[in-house]
Amino acid sequence: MNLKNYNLIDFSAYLSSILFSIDYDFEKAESQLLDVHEKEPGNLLYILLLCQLYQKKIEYCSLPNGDTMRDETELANYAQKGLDTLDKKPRTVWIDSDFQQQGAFLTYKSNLEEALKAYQQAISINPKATDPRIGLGVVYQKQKKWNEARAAFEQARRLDPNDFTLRCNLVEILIEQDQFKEAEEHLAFVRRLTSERHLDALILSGKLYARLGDKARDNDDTVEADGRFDKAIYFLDKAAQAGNYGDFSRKITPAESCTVHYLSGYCQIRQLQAREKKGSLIERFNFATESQRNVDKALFKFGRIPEYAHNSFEANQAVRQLKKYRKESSPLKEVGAQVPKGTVVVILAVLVLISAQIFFLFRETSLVRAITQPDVICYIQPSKIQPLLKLDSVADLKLTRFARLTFNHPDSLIARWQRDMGETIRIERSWIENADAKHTPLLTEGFYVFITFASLLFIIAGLALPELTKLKVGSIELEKAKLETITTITSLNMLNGISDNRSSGAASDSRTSGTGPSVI
Amino acid sequence: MGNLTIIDNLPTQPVADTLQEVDQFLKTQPDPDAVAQLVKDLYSFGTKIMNDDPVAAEKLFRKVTELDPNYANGYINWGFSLHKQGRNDEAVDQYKISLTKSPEPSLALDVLKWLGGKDVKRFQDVLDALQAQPDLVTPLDKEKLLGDMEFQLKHFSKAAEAYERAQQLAAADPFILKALGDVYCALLQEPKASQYYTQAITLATESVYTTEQAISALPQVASGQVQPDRNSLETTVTEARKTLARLHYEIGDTLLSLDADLDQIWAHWKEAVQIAPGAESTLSIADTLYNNGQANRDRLTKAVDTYTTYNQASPTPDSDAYVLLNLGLCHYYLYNYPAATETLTKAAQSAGDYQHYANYWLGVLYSGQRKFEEAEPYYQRAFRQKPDEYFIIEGLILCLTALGKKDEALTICQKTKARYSTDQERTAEISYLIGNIHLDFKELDKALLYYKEALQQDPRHVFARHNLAHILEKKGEYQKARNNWNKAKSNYLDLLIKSTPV
Repeated sequence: MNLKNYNLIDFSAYLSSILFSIDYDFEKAESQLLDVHEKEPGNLLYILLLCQLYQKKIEYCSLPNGDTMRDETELANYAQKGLDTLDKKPRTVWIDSDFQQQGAFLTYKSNLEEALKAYQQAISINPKATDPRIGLGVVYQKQKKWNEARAAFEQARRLDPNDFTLRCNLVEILIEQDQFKEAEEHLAFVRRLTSERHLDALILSGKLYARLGDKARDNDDTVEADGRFDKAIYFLDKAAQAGNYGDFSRKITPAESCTVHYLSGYCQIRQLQAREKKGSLIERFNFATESQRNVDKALFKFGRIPEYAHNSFEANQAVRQLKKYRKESSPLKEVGAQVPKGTVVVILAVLVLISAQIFFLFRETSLVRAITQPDVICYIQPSKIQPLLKLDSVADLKLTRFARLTFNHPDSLIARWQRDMGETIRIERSWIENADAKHTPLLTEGFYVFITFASLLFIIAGLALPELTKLKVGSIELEKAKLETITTITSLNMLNGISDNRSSGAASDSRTSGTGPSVI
Repeated sequence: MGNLTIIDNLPTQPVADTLQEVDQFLKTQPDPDAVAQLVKDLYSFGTKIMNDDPVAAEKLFRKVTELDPNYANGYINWGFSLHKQGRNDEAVDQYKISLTKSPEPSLALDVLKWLGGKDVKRFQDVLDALQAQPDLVTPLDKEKLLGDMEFQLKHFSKAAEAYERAQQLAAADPFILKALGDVYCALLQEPKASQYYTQAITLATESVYTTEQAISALPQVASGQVQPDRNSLETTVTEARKTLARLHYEIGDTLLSLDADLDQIWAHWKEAVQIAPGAESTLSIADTLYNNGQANRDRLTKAVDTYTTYNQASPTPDSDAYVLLNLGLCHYYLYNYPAATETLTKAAQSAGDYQHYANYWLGVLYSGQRKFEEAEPYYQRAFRQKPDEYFIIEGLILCLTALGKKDEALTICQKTKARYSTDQERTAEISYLIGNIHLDFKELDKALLYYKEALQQDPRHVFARHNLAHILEKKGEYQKARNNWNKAKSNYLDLLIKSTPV
């Protein structure tokens, strides 16, 4: 590479852009950039890179106290420097790139109204430029003017259909506008072409499916909700892996990481709640263990959100609710006690019902009667048996033994008499005490009806028992995590990067630069 | 004499053929006079071509020094050829050898000044050479050089001693007093420095005044009548004014290097410009202001005024393309586009070394206003004038791309590439530009192909690597992109180390 063709200070600037946007080595990049800025304080590219550096530094700040004050001040300072440098150029000769840079610096300074005007000017000068349209879209997005933002991003996308990050910007707006189908089409496109490695697309897919899951759940479409939450969890968990950078489009920011963890935990619980409503008793029984795993996962996700995170309050609240739920009615308890309790009730009720039916049908049989009718004590009246006792011989005390016997029915007594005494002594019914006593049956018709209905009631109650004692997770109201607007800095390419100054002073150098002595 | 054959065809035939013929000639065992003549001829040939073809010239001077190992000039021009190729370390070696071959004092002075100059900074080597060979240059030049080198090495007391010895040898030389002022300025003894500067200026002013007095003392003559004394005195006064202006310029330059206030510097420079508006010092002031003032409106405005003054003071205004070019660029950096266009157009009209620059900058000027249609002819002209200058090819390609003339841009690249078929570094540059064209037209795969090609031809082409990584990222191949970013990072570091002066 012939170094004479290039401005070597640019090398340092480009190197620092790699250092902060690829390596996340902010300190090294900062020192390099400050160095080049000192050498060429009027170079807008270097000022813009410094702004990008501080913006990224703020986004990736992982200090426990979240102290970004210094970087925010630096960002504002350099944005102002950029504006001051631009102001040195008379407005009459400004071109699209000047307005675009003005828009960028104003956006860094959060002067959105002015930034908007600057981007609009840039577009009016060069309608084919993509960057000012993206800038415009971002400003509208910050102002929550979704329709305008969408239009700006759509136009930019038409100009550069290969830009994945731009598509993701558009998706953010589409989700805000509940245009889920279109959003998913764009996301599927990005996911497919990047082998599910574009971090913004993964986070937004998670957000999109979480929203879709909620929607399905609101419509009581539990099966759909279950599937959507499942997808959301899949994408969010994948996005969380970008904490290690790996082969993802970029590293996840601490704020995004917290959002992703929260949203993932949120989806775990919502999925659990969606699943809880569906299925038969047995299915729910089998599902209890899995439900516990969901709760554990959610607790794990919420637990990963540090104290200082923007959503730590919501996360702590969710953890408290989940722990309380686990303590009071953990799914294991549900499985071990409550679900069988319902079954036992049903079984018992069924048994009672069946028994009642049998007893009622066979109420006239002796066996049933013996059970269902209260016992009547029958015996031979003493006045009738005394005279006969003398018939007993010394060796055979049949009548004496008989006199001591009691029977619960006169027929039983007569039968036994006839078996023991034979035809020798005939018994008369009048001899029997309580022979004509009236039986009060236990299983009356009213009682039968009552038992039948009561059993049926218990069966229904037994079947309904798990629903009544269903997981209390349903009552946990989780705050929906707000997903921060994804702001990423795309890396520079040389076409945009090379400044106009690359050959500045070439003519002057050609005469004034030192040449060796020559003999001519 | 056999060498006549060689000399007759020298300017037209390739150097390789010439050297082959020299070898054949030497096999004939020519007499010493013939060899001496051959050395002179070869030296002359090399000197003619060394600015345009330093590589070929180097071969000739190598042969010259082989034939006459004591020929100092041969080593000096060999060194110059190497310097022209950017091989300064090797050039220094040849220059140092030349000093051991008893060069002419004026040549030796040139060599020593180059060695101790801003580019090479071999201050200690100069001191060593002067210590080893005290008679290499005149005693006055020797003391001044010793002072300069010791000053550069920050041995201020030794520098002061050397300058004082020089002052004893040339008491009327205001520049020695100025040098002493510089020493005390560096020692932060401003009153003493100021005293020396004032002395120097007074001395130079007196010289001007005395000569002016002498002119006014001459009797008046009728117009058209020649008066030799007057003419001679007028020449002297002009030279004295130039010296005084130069003195003011150099004092201002020293103050600039010490980061003094621009008003303080300008006080000296303004004087210099007023005293001798058409002198080289005025141009030097304008150049310094321009080279140090691209981000400073005040300096650029002063540069404009100074260049304008210099141009107007010229016997033939608007004829120096260099001045017009730099004046045009000052207007450009001051965003005074109409004036820049007018001045650069004038610069582009005069054929010479700066014509292609003027056309190129006119192209840049129009491109910068998004007037690509107007810019294209200027780029095309610059390209026709210097088809091998990378920045011109790049400018033209960017302009054509902006105009949507992809095929035209590609054709230019392919033709240029064909010309460099044996030069991998240059071919890589063109492949990189082709990649840029495709990237601009959002043809990522084609762009990728050409960046890869550029890297095959020159693996250290960091911009090709940078854009390759960028495209891979755009295509969602993040791991590959990251690998290339890392390589680009190493390349940048290597190139920055390579470009950092020792």
